[in-house]
Amino acid sequence: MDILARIQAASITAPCLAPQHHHKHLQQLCFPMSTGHHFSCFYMHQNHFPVAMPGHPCRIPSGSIRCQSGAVEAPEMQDVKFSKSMLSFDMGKDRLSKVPASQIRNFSIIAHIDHGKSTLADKLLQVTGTVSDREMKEQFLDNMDLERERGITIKLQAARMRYVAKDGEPYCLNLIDTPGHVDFSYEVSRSLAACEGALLVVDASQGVEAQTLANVYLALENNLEIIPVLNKIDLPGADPERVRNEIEEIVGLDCSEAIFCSAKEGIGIQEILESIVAKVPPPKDTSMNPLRALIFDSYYDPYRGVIVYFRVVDGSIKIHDKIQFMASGKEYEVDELGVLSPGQMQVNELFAGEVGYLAASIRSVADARVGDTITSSANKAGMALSGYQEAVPMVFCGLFPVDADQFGELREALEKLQLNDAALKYEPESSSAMGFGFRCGFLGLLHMEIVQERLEREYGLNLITTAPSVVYRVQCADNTVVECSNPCELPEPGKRVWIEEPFIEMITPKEYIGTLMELAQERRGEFKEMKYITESRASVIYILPLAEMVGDFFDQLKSRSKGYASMEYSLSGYRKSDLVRLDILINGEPMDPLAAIVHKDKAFAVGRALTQKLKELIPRQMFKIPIQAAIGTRVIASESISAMRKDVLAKCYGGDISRKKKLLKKQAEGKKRMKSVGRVEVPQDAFMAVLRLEKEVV
Amino acid sequence: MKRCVVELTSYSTYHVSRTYCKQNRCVPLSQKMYPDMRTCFIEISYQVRTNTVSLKYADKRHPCWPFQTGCPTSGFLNLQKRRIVAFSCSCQRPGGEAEKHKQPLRLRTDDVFPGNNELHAQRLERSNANVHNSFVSAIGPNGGRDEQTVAGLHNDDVHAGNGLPTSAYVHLPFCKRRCFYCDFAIVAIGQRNDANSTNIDSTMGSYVTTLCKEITSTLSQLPQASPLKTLFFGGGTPSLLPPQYLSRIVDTLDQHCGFQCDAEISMEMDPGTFDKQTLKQFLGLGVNRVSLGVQSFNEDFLKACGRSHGLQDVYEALDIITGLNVSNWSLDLISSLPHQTLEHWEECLREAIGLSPAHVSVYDLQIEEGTKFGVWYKPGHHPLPDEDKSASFYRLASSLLREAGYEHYEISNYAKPGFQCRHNMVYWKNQPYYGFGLGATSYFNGKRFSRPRKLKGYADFVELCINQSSDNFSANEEYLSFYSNTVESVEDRVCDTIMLSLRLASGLNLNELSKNFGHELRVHICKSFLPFINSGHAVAVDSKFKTVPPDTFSTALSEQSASKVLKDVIFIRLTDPDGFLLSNEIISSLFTDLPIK
Repeated sequence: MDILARIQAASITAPCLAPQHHHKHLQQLCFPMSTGHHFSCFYMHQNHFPVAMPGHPCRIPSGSIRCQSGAVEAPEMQDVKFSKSMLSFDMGKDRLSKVPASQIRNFSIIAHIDHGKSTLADKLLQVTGTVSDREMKEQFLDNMDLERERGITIKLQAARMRYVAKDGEPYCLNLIDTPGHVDFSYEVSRSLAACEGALLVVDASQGVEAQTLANVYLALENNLEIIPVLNKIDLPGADPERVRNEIEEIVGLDCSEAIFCSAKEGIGIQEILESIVAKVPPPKDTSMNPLRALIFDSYYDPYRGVIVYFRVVDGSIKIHDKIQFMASGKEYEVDELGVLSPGQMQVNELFAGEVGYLAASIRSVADARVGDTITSSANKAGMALSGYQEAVPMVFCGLFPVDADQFGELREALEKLQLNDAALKYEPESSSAMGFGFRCGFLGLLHMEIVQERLEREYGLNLITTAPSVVYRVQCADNTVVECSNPCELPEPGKRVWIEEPFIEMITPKEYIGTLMELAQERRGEFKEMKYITESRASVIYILPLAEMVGDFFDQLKSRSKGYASMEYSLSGYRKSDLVRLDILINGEPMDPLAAIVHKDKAFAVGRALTQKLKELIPRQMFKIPIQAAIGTRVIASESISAMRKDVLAKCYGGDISRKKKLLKKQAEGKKRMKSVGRVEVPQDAFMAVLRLEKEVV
Repeated sequence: MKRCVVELTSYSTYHVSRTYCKQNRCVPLSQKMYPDMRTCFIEISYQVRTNTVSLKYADKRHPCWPFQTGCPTSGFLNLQKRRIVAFSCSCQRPGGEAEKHKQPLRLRTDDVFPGNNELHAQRLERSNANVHNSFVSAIGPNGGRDEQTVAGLHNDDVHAGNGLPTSAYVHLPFCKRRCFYCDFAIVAIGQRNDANSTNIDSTMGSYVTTLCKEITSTLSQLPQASPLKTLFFGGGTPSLLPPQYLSRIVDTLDQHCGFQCDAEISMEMDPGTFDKQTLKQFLGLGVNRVSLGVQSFNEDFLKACGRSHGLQDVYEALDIITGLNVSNWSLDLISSLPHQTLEHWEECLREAIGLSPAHVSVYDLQIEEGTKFGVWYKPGHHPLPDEDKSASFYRLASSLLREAGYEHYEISNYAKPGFQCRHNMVYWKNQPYYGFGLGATSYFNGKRFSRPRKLKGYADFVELCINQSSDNFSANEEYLSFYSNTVESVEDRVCDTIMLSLRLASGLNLNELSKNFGHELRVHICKSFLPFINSGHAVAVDSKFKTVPPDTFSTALSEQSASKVLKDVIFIRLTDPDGFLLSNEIISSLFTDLPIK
């Protein structure tokens, strides 16, 4: 009884007081418990006390551990009997305990979209007791609304789990989630660099998909141990044997020990965990070396400053340590140190091989860039880790606030997004028609869409986006090569010799070959080859200008295949193309945001479509407005909006004044929402519609 | 010094307030005084101590008319007790030499109040008065030219010293049926016959009772209601109301605020709703202006609009009006009707001109939600004329009517000189007015208020008014606050001023604008006007009534210092028909440009 009372006291005070004099207690208390079950049993008794436990003190060699209240709560149990979930829950609670580096496993999951990666991750969290059944919500790691809605992972997240393997030893498993879309391959490579192994999840009915391949190659590049997992074996169409052969044939992996599982039904989860323990190599124990930790992610928290996610490669890091970021040279003191499990849980020290986060009142993410190495100020490491190759934006577009007053907010929002998304590039741009905004670079189309949506959703911004553009290489007459992603900055025709544009290689499985070929053919695509992987599976490779894909290519592909088509693309290099810049002029004024670089053969059709759309959408004004599409000085399409003839309120008597004033004020409000191009007022939605159309026709 | 405004017309030689008449300070002026000016505004200031009157007038021919007493003339009237004795004045015509007129006044009677025998007698007496000359020269030819007085002219004119309205609108909602384009607050009562006559009378009777209660309750709460200068019976179809009911309304008003002797009392009348006897009775009650809702001179169009009358009724009504020598009558027309062609419209306009009304209102058909037309037609789509065609209707009306001697003094109104609707001018000059009756709006104490549009709601409202006023001794303010939600904000007042004054041919008075809202706004508005002045949709006018060329105007604006030229621009008006036709576009642009507080 005495012991229990002391535990109560300790567990209440530990989270709120400085732990120094308490952890003696805790060490003593915890001392008799060695590992796993015993320790858990001890807590079982605790649960019979009506005192809710705000925190879970546990044994670590050099300090106490606090976990943020609410992250894990004691389950409501009346029975002392062990149920499966209770057991796992109790194991999970120990996940903050220190284990030797040899018992750490850092791994990630790679899969094609919809092959069940997130479901598997959720199941792992559940089975290891990292999250209780009650806390479990679908796709736990995808904590952005957007991610959950779209069923994709955008930002990578990490989770530390504790697993007591069959050998009786507790292991610390760090799952680092990877984004599933090819646009985010940069983020994938970031998370892979922090791991030693990867689960390759393949849908047991669908087999190897384009993305499976792309990710496997990334994993192999990072020298990861790959564990093949055939998921969804419970589905009627599942044919794990066939898929296993497919993986062996296509990817060349040894699949003799591939695990058959159904994340949804919880089949094979134990095997997966065992396999991770057995196959994924532990990190090297270099905790005696000077500290080197690789930042693989960071985000800005308005209360705590930049939160840095890192993997300790060498040495160890303690709370209140003075640390230095090797690239930026900035020094900070660690205010908070912890692990992700998957919520943030504070610990006092992390060692080589562990994955965690820290906060140090860092005001700018520029000081703690992703890819930078953290070292200790007192004991500096000699060389920084190799970091990451900078992400190269492939697609660009202009982002302008609808309301010019929101420019400042947009800048701040982009700054903040960039904290978490190093691949996002932006620079200020101004245009006569759109005012001030930013030219932004993205990894790909989905990335662009996600950023736009996050800006609108999370930051409440109302944005206009210009048609996406790619990076062109212009060979100039003076023998220089200019890279240009903004049609307005394209050198004058006289100054350029030729323009090169990026081309991509697309791969799609047999089922969608027809759709893809049809679409690619319309868009300057060039058939490269058809590969038969197995008898029933083939894939086609097309070469296509990237510019042709940045419009509505995906939408078209999806709609033409009723949503089923999948494809993968990769940059295949630059090629010369017969390109021109198409300008749109309203009342003689060029509309910069509508300028586009298009293939010469398409210029006429695009010009005509755009001028017609503008004619439809710009309301009559007090004078006649010519609308032209031009290449240089040559007008290739022209329309005109005739002058407004009549806009008058016929009758206005006493009783009418308020009503008429309301009408006129409404009209005035409408004007305020218009953008002026020279003297012409263009409604916002006309811009939007034309930009939309441009995405389709260019 | 007291002031009133006298309007001289070619028909009636004088109009002075009845109040003044009663005190025999009436100032009749001969039109011979200004043989070349058939109509002008005269400001008369009477000084009791010296028993003298000074006057100023504004030139009718000036585009700024009737806002501006830009070239004042002063003269003096010598008054003896109860008798006008002599008049003399010196005047300076615009750009002309100073002249002295020493002429006896010749007074003419008119039939302003044919029913008022006493007044009639007074007038006769006055017209025979032995007027002799007496010339006092105290004010030079330029006297009273300073802006203060000039701008003060029509302010004092209306507020009559205590800021209360001198105009009233009375809504008489009864109609035989609802026209297909109409979304007004009306009560359709059907064709009167033996069967429903009693019912109709009782409905009308109880409405008039409620209405009179509202008038009484409103006016008796005010410290001192000013005599009315204009009264407008609108509807509905006011001519459906039996004269004895109208008499009750006029009496109630006379009892609580009275009328000035030159008061304009207008009444809307529909063909087929009155006979000679009825009109005679209306005139006897003081009605001196008739607005006849003809709408079209084409039987098919009348039918297509759902009008309750045919073409025959129109001509009969016209016979009655002219037969009773009503000179001040107006005719309403609607353009842009379904299936209307330019030929139809021209025919209609020529027919109207041929009848020589004193005033013509031309309304462009507006398709309102909730009307039959609103269900059947879409603006700009067949069978309605498109925008271009509709604009050509407007242009045609403007050119034909102006050719025929009508002034296009407001966007949809045309009048022979001196026959502008004075009541409607109150609206456009953004001056206060009472509103009585179903759905009527009022504007006073800086508040606009709309009454309920349903009979029941209106009756409840009047009950509330009465209870409020009897329950509370200091009810005045409470009552007034009940009348409206909020006092119009400065922004609202600026918008009102811009939107209303630009409807008038005279345009926006910048002196007044800077007086009321500050000089900065004047400069700001001038800047906003620049594109429209350059495009010929608006014109700037200087103190000498000359059009300021666009180049001069824009140069003045581009200069840093508050330029002299800009200061000299007194009016900005829209051009006819180009500016008028795009007035919404221009006004809303000005609104957009207004500095936001």
